[in-house]
Parts: sequence; C-alpha cells; structure tokens
Amino acid sequence: MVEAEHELALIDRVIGLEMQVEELRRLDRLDPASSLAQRESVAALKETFTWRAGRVITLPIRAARFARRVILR
Amino acid sequence: MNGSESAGSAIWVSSVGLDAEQLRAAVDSAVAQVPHEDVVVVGRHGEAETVGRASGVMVVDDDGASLSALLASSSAKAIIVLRWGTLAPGAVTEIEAFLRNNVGVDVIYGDSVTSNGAPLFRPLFSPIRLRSNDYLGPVVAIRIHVLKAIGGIDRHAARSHVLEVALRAHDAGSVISLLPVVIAREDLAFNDFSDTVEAQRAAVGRYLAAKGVDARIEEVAPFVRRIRYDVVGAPLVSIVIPTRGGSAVIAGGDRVLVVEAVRGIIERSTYRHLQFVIVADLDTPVAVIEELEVMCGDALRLIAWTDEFNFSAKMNRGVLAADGEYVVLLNDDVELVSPDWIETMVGLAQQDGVGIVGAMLYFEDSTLQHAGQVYVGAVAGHAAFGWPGGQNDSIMSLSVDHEVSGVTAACALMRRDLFLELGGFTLALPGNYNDVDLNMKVRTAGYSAVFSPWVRLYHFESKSRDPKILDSDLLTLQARWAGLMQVEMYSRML
Repeated sequence: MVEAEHELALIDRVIGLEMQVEELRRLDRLDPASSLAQRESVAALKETFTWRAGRVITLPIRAARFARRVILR
Repeated sequence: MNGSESAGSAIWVSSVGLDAEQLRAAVDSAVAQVPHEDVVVVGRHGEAETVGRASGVMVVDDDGASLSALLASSSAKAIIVLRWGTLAPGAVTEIEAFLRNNVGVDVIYGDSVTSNGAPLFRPLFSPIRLRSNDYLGPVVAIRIHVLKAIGGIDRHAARSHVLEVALRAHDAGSVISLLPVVIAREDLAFNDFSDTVEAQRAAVGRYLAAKGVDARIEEVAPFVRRIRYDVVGAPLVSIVIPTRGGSAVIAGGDRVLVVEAVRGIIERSTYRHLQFVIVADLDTPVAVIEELEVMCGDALRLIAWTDEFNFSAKMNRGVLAADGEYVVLLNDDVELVSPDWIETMVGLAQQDGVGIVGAMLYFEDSTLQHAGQVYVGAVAGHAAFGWPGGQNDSIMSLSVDHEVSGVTAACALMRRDLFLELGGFTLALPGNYNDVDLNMKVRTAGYSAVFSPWVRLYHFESKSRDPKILDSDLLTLQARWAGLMQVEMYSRML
C-alpha cells in the first residue's frame, strides 16, 4: 500500500511539474473562446474608473522606472 | 449566394415559431449585414412567403431535400442559421472574424440578450448539456465544407436541424466553439414550438440509439430533457469516506455523521453493488466502527489512518484499497436525497469523454451549497452558492446535466483507474483545493467534469464555514493552473 501511495504521489508530482512549466512558459493554454473572453475581460477592466485612476496615480512611478531603464541601457 | 459567387456567409432565417413581425425583424437584421441574395427564409410557416417577398429574399421549404439543394448550390464559406431571434448589429463581422482567426473552429454559437436586454451567457461547448437542451441560442454558424463533409442535411431532422447537425459534427470530430460575444437578441416568446420540442427529443433519441447508448428521455420542461442513461453492466462502485467518527447536531438531533451517511445510502440507494471504504482516524470511537461493521457487513473495507491530517492522502489510501471499477469520493457529513444517485452518476461517467461527475448539494436549510465549481481569477468558488432550492438561471442550468469547470469532492464519482492514472489527490494540497487540482488534471487529460442536478444530497457544512485557505494552498494551486483559471467559461450565469 505504501509503495502504491508513493507511486500515486510521484505521478501527481510529474503532472504538477509539467503544469508549472506550462505556466512559467506563459503559453496561451486556452481554447479560442476562453482566450477571447479573457482578452475582453482585461479590456473591460481597463475601461473601469478604478483602473484609470490607478494608472494616473502610478504615473510618476512608472515614468521614473521608464527613465531609469533608459538611463541604464 | 445561391449559385452566384459569395466570399462570406449565407444567412438561413428559420421561420419556425415566428409571427410575421418577428420574422420581418429577423430578416431585416440579416439583410442589414449581408446582401439580400445571401439571405434565405427557411420554412413556409405562417406568413413567411409574404415576408420573404416583401424583403426581397428567397423562401424555401424546411424539408431535407430543399435544404440539401440549397446547400449544394451555395458558394458561401459559412452558413449562419438564425432562429427565434434577430442578429445583433455587427454579428456577421464578429462571426466571420472569429472563423478567420481560428481556422480550427468549425461551428460557432454565441451569447445573446433577451428582448429586455438581459444577458444570456452560454457555456463552452458542452456535449452532455446539448443532449438535454439545445442551448446554442439563436445564432449558429458552420463552415459549409464541414457541413458537407459530415453528410449535409439530415432529412429526418425537420425542426431540429441545428441540434442534429451539432451532435453529428461533434461526433465527427468537428470543433464547436462558443463565441463569447453578444451576437443576437433572443425572442423567448415561444409560439408554435410544440413540434420543435418533439423533433428535438426525437433527434436526441436517434443520436443516442446510433451511438448504442441506452437511455430514456424525459421532458422536464419545454426544450429541457432529462436523459436517464442505463448503466452498462453492473460495475462495483466503491464509496470512499474519510472520517474520524465525529458527531454534530443536525435538525435538532445529535448525529454520528459517518454512521448516518452510510445508513442513508444503504437504506435508500437503489443501486446495490456497493462497497464502503471507510478511512478512519485512530481516534474514531469503537462504537462507530462496530455500527459500520453491522450495517455494511462484507461490503465494508475499513482502513486505519494513523498519520497526521491530510485529506488528500486519506482519500488516496481509500481509493487504492477500493475494489470498485468506479469510486465515489464522499464526505461523511452528507445525507442522500436521490435514491438513484449511483445509476445517474455511473450512467454519465460511462458517456464518451466524461471524467468526473458531481452532485447538487444542499445546506441543511435547503439552500444550494454546490452546483459545480467556478474558477475566476485563479480562485475557486461554487456556482449558485446560497441560492434557494428551485431557483434556476435563464439557460436552465439547474435542470440539465452539464459540463462545469469542476465539481466538489464532497460527492464526486470517477473511474478508479482514471483517478490513479492522474496521481489521485495531490499531497501538496492536504486540506483545500485538492479537488480543484483533481478536476484540472481531469480536464487537461482531455476529459470533462459534469454536474448533475439529479444527484441530490444534503451536505451539513456550515454556510459560514471558514475554509481557512492558506496562502501556500493558493500559491500551489496557481503555480499549476493560474493561466487556465482566470475566466469562468461554463457556469457563466450562476
């Protein structure tokens, strides 16, 4: 029984690691409908007042980061 | 498009169930988006001839021979079927762009709104749901070469052509996809649809018979069917229950959870070929063990759990010890409601592509605890959580077996060999989200998770229970699945 349980855990670890690699590679793992829905969801988020206000508030920080990247290049 | 050159889509407007005003609106919405010659009214019902003539579009019979002739003469790339509604502005552009950008997609359907503007968000393609309800909506598009390749129009399928073609296309390996954009306004006022109801039931019956699936089809509501699948063979089903023999006050009375759960199953289940695999902590009271032994007799497999708490490991040990071809993963704080629960779940699990089957769970106060899991922003929740019993969504999700993102392991059935093939529950998630991980493994292996509203149990979990989700649980889950759990695509109305 213990050996079988270890084997089960090993299979799960292999599947889990494969999925982690897929996540890290940032591949588009979605079907066409889900992919479109996700893009629409992000687009809708960017239309919200909260998002826009956040972009305005963080503008100085983002500008500073951009400037630093340009200087360090 | 009929005989002449067409680079785009032909629109077939079904006149079934529409009065003259509705049909005129449908035709107008079509001719606003494609040339008149690419629009055809299908079916000479009611005032179809008059409307067709006034709109300058052709009218054809909706029998198989007429539609086959229409199909043969078409030079369009795709047929857009419009039924019981109107095309939303820009719908044809959306459909053609989706087909152009996704060359592997053969058939598409989309979201719609009601005449009041209420959204009708449809799920990802769900073949099990399709058997119970033609949920595809007012607009379905198919590439013409695909329709021809799968055999064209079925002459037996009058009034159910869309459903019949979708079922056939799926079995032929065609890719059917949701277009998650509002492409139609749906007219839900059903007129003269009685023949359509019967035609759809007959189409599903013929489809199942052709596949060799023995089942009974029962009408639940207009256009909504319950398919009762016959269990093939008499497979042994092992019910795996982890427990520590705890008690709780339910309905005012003290109750030893595992004992009452098992008693309810033994007394009420109509399926008899059962094994009970009880994975019991060492501190489980002796009296509880003895009562289980008396109740279950030879059907009991008792497994001692000697390690520290780990739900996943306990369940894995139980499944490994089980002898059944199928295993039911079951919590001990449940009470059976549906006597035919095993037949229903096994019947579904024996259908092509189904990997795991879950149940409708109720809180003690009869509000809904579980109607499938929903995954949004890489976090999991339950569909219809807290809804009063009897409530439904606008696409009747709680009256049909249907595909979901996942099902809770508080009550789920799957083939034992598939559970083992997938490594069972992950030990990396000892307390929470292990069922979410299992469902994701099932789905990425190419199987579906299916929820059945006909499998009903009480689950005596407190509505206000704090599941104590650890950050580490969430991180472990998201490390594997975050990209696939961002937007809920099955239970979009729950």
